Amino acid sequence: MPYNPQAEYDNGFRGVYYDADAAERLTQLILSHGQAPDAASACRQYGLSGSGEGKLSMPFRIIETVFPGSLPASAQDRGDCVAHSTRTAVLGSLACEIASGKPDEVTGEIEGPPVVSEAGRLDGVLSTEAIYWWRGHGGDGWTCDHAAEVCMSQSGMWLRKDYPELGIDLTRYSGSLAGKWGRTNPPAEIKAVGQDHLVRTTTRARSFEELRDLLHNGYCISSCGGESFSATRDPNGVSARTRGGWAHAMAYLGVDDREETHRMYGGPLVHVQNSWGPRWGSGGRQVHGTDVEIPLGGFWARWADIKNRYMIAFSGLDGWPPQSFDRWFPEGLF
Amino acid sequence: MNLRTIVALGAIYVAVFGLPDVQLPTPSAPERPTVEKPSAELQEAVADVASICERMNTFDRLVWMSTWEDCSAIVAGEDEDVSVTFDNTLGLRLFTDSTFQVAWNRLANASGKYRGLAEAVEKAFTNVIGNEVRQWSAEVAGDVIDLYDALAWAGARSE
Repeated sequence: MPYNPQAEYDNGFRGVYYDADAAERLTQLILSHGQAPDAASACRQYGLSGSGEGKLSMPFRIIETVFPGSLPASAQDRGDCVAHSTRTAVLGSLACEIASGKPDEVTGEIEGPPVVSEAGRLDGVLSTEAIYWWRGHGGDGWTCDHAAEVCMSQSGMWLRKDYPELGIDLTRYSGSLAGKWGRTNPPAEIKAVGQDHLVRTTTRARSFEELRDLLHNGYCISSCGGESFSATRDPNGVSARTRGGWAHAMAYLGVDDREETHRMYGGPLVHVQNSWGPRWGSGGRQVHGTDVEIPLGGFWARWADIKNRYMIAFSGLDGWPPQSFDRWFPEGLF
Repeated sequence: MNLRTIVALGAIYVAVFGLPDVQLPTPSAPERPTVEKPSAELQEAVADVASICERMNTFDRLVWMSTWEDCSAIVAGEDEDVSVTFDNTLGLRLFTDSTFQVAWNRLANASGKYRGLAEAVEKAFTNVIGNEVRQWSAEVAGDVIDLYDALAWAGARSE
């Protein structure tokens, strides 16, 4: 029987759980990098507060531009949703960093998209397996905090490609390869490669305003929680919350805070990218009032339906500098 | 050696060797622009840019005009060496950013030199093409080519 993720989660599989020790370790790690572990402080410190108010912000569009066809990637075929959600959020932040046109703080160069084969690009550009190897146990399920800690300290952005020197081919997603390590950590040569391209920092968002302003500036979010949603979207791509519940991780790649959206749905919407492949979900995908479609395998959720979820944002930059995607040119070019 | 050749050689040099440690040649006189006079609407859209271009020195103005002309030819598919395809205007933005990072920032070393230029260029793009990401189409391409030509013309207007 092929793995059916929705059936597993509907039947009570726990893809996510909370670990207070992991949360504390992540807090200390972020502080050791000189950054703010809470998004409220990060937004204030970097002047992001209020920047996304009243706006439609769609980092998923930027991912589709920088890495065409990379969303939604393959469906998970084991309980590694946290690694998928984390990878997708990191991918979003990476794409936005590239699209912002800002020179890298270290090299001074404007970085273009990394070189990855078409097969690797169509399967999400970045590996989920290399994140999941560090979960610290032999079973499935994980915490959003520990995955974020791993991205900052052990195993950052592994491109989906062949690593012949390691005898590992990550070009295409493999659930069995994701389980290669777990009970024991990967060996030193794996860790050495993982030290390249670490995520620079992360922060925890708690309010809608923090989520909105982070996404508006191109910092994408991995979320963990117990909410479940209908697989049938309304004509505008919105899915209603359902009663069953999934212990599941999903990425946030967009936010709609427009007034007309508030009027239509009683509040703002958040774009949720699921990891159950392109065939999951049916119904509309068009963002109302635009000619834009959300990627396959995703949906808009009402903020009121997801307000209790645990949210972690990712940055490949040194902190959370403002990034503008509604300007044509980066500041300082002309 | 015309400016187009200088821009091309400069771009290749910077790409291969990094920033050159030499004085770049300063052409004695600008070439006459080959672009046609834009429509009245486009002249209005780039009016602020044109005013600022009047303050530019000869070399900067030549780089300005030539780079927009080259971008226009590339987007129009008329360049023999470079071809680009876009899904939407975000890809166009990356292309234009990258081109001007080399030509304007590195070759001319003119970033930040002319007060108000960034705002004037941003305003022209916002008014003519808009800030929303648009799907690429013949209509969008036409708007972009016309705007690029108008920006080149803005540099030539004071000649």
